[in-house]
Amino acid sequence: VSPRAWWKVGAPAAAVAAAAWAGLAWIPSDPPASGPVDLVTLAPTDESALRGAQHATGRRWVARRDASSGARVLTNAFFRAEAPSPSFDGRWFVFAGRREASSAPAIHRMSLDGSAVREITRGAGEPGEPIVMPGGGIVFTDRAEGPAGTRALFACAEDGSELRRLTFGPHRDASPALLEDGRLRFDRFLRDTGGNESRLTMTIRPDGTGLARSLGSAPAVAASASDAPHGRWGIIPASAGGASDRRELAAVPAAPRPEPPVLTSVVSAARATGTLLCLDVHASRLPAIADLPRGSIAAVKVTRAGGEGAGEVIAEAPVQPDGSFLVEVPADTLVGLTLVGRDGAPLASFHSGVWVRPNENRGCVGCHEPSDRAPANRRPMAVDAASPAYPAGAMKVSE
Amino acid sequence: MSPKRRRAMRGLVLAACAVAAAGGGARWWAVGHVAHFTGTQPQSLDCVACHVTGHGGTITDRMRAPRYLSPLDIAVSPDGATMYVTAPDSAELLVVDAASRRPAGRVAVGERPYFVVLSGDGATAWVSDQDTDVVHRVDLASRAVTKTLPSGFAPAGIGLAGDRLVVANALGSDISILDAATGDEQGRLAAGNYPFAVAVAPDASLALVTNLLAAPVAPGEPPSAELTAIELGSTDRGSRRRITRHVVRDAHLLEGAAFIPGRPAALITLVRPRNLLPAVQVERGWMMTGGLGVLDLATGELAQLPLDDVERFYADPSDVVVTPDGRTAFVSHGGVDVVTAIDLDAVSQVIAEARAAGEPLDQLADRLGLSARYVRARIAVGSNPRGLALSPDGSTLYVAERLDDTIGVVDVASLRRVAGIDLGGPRHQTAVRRGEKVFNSARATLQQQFSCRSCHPENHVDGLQYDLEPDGLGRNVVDNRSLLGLRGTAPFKWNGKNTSLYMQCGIRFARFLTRSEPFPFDEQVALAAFLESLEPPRNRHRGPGGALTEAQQRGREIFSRAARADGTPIRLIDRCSTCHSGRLYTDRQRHDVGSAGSWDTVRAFDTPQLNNIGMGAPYLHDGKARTLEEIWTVYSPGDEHGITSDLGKQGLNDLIEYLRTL
Repeated sequence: VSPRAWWKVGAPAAAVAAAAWAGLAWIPSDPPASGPVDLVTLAPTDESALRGAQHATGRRWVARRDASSGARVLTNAFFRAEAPSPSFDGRWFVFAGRREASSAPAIHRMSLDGSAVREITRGAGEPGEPIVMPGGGIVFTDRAEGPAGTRALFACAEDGSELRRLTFGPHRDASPALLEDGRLRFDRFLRDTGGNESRLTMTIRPDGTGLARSLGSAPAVAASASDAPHGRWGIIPASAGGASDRRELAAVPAAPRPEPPVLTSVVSAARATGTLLCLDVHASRLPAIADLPRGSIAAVKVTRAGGEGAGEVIAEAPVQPDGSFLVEVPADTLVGLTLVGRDGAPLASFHSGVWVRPNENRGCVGCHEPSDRAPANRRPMAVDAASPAYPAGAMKVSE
Repeated sequence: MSPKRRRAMRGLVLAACAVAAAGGGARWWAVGHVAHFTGTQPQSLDCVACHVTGHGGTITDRMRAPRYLSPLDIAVSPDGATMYVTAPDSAELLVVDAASRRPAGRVAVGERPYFVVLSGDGATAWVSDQDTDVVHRVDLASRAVTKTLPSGFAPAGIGLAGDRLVVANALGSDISILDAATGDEQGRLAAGNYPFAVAVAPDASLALVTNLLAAPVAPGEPPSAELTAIELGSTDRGSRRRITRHVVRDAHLLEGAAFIPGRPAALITLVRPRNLLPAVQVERGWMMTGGLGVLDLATGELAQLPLDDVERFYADPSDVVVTPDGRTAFVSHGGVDVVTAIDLDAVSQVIAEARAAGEPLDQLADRLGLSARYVRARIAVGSNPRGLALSPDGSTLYVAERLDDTIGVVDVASLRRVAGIDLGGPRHQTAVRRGEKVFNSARATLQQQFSCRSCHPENHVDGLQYDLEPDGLGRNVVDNRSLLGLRGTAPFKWNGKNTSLYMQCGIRFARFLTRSEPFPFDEQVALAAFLESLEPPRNRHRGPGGALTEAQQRGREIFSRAARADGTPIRLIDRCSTCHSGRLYTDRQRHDVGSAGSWDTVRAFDTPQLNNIGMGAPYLHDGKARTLEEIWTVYSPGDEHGITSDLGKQGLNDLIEYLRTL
């Protein structure tokens, strides 16, 4: 073959290949937004008449709102789509949605231009309120084992694998939000026997460890519509792509933003228990406990809290003269604590419940201590009182 | 296919197989090689990371060998026109024009100028020199050192009281009172552990000296550091001075001190460690919190208040200054690149309320929510802020941004950093310098509660013991170890399990200590480069040229002896020089010296290097020996830790005298 022939065939082929390579390199799979973009959840304007279950199953849309070109609905292929949560690079987002009124809801992923839609997980049947986590992975709420209406926080990888439960107890957990320090905040709704709900705002680490009452001072990152700093009401006209006017429920900015740290985890499936270490039960903001004379509390009983078997004593440990105790408890089980006097009579009980994850050693300053209290620097007698043969918190975590 | 072509094809296939096998083998070897030297699964097979950028810096680092400034302390002239800034790493006193906010000169001062104080007329500066144990007197008109005044070991803080200098000798754990003009030492006073900063009352009647480290305590006891108050009294040589030793309960790392103008009170910065708790979490100040000490000069009562918020911490509180009107204090936080502005009227109110309620004032620092009542602002500044100084009119705050080689300028009215003064340090950031930034930053810790420096002040050690989680709560309490002279002493940890700094500072470090995100690999490389660059200070116990005293020579013979005093041979394994062998005096093996307690799950511990062992108290793996003597007199009654029972008091003293020279 002559050089001329090579030139005739090779040059155009090289040009085509170069163009193709350049094109592929130039067009990312998830193009970033070119300017300020919000992800907006929309509802029909006439939905205000709907109530209860109807309201929860009505239509919703997720729209992209650019500063220049206005709003454009991205989820017309869905019957209901809501709660968008953008990725940290601002290229894609996740949302909860169902394609048909009768189809199962799922968590989906979509590029910011509405392309590359992919189902991530159907969870336990009713997943919702997803948020994108730093380092990959999704956290969402879903139906959980327990009485009707029980919901918990779950986590999974970006492809839906590694599904795991993060919160425990027969309660309704909702509105997860990612905090700037890498932890999660969520609302826990507790029901009394009359069916009335009360709300606690809690924090956990992303592996479900470190359950604590939210102190309210840690700022959240705008990772979901519930945290939108500038969510606002407004009317989106039908010209934006819908059959009728819609009103805006919430908005979240989709701009690239700093990624909170990916917190490490001590959770290990090799261990079925965790430990609770309390430094001083007398450190309490509740007079019923704080006023108890030192030495009057003999032991702490750990009971199953809520649900089947509630009240069953599952662990017990002595309370030391300095008020400390160390007790090993089954993991992933909502437990309550009862302080017991020298005569065996209960002195005080806490039923709202805490849990430990497998291999977690959970520390508490006191029993319902003042929320801003840092611990005193004293070696708790409970760690010395435990038998050397007892592997308190002994763990082996693979690298 | 012809035989010739078939042979060619076979050759090609064989060659491809050989290349593939060689490539696979090389990769297999490389994986093992990286795992061997880092002790971790290879996060990246990046030859350049270790062989070019690690171990002290890149090739360009070594070629350029930049000399950073690392501004530490600032003094402002009485007219406010000029700043004088110590630059320990370049051995200079930097002159900065305050009006133009530009460098205006450099004065070569000793080897490691640390703190600076000016005369009342602004004509003279005195600069402590950590490496040469002197104070330099600098004539600011001629910008020349005119006299050197001998002090104690490693002078740090320095204060001027009339015509006397009060000098905190960090390594000597004492305080020199010097005649500022002649250098005549009028007195040498015992201080606490590692005296650091000096503040002198406006009427020069009282000096406060902070002590960085807590006094060694019995195992399980909470550490407390000393604030030394000296009533200066007469200038007559040998006159009595009243010294009050304020025990700052449950606190250490007292770094800064300042008197409050117009009020009978002074401020110090402090850290409250939680080293006695099993380290199961970071939240709620479980590892440590920062605090502000408020000393009532009339009563001697010392209140401690929190500097942190409930869910956000401001690591490594360092210097403190107070505005001339006595109403606002500023504290630098080296770990989070922040200066906190504090309303002192609100502080007084909080203390008054607590006193009325009968609350222990020195425990208020555990109520983290209190800080919201008096913190006026958190001011973002440059990297690793340390020394602070106010302009004479109190309108401008200057911040030594140590690892940026800049001075931050903060407008006191708006509480904002309005400018940065580039002192002219090298632009190039070496691996060691980047590692130093990682080391001094609390960014990698949950809620930014502490940095590496928080447990290793002055790159050394805090002298505390910690109960880390993975081996069980209450088990294996271990003494912190110095980072000075670390190179070549692997393995690390007392159980000798970490074969490299990469492993020591790796994922387990994040999982069980910082509770946040592990260091990225490039930061690990930089951190390792920095740690390996740390050299121990000059050993003050050696004579000129390394000469040993007679006692030290006798101690050296004991150290390497092969027989007892009565001639009985000593087994090789029982000789000091067997385990403490080589240039660093460690065989880098684990040995059982009978030091394990009932809560230790291992009996044999890593042999520590002995370089500068004299400044490494306390001793043994769990820090139970408060002095070198106690290693043998209390914890080796049966000669478990070498043969010493035949030495007698004199022989043991000789041995210890020698050990201090190592």
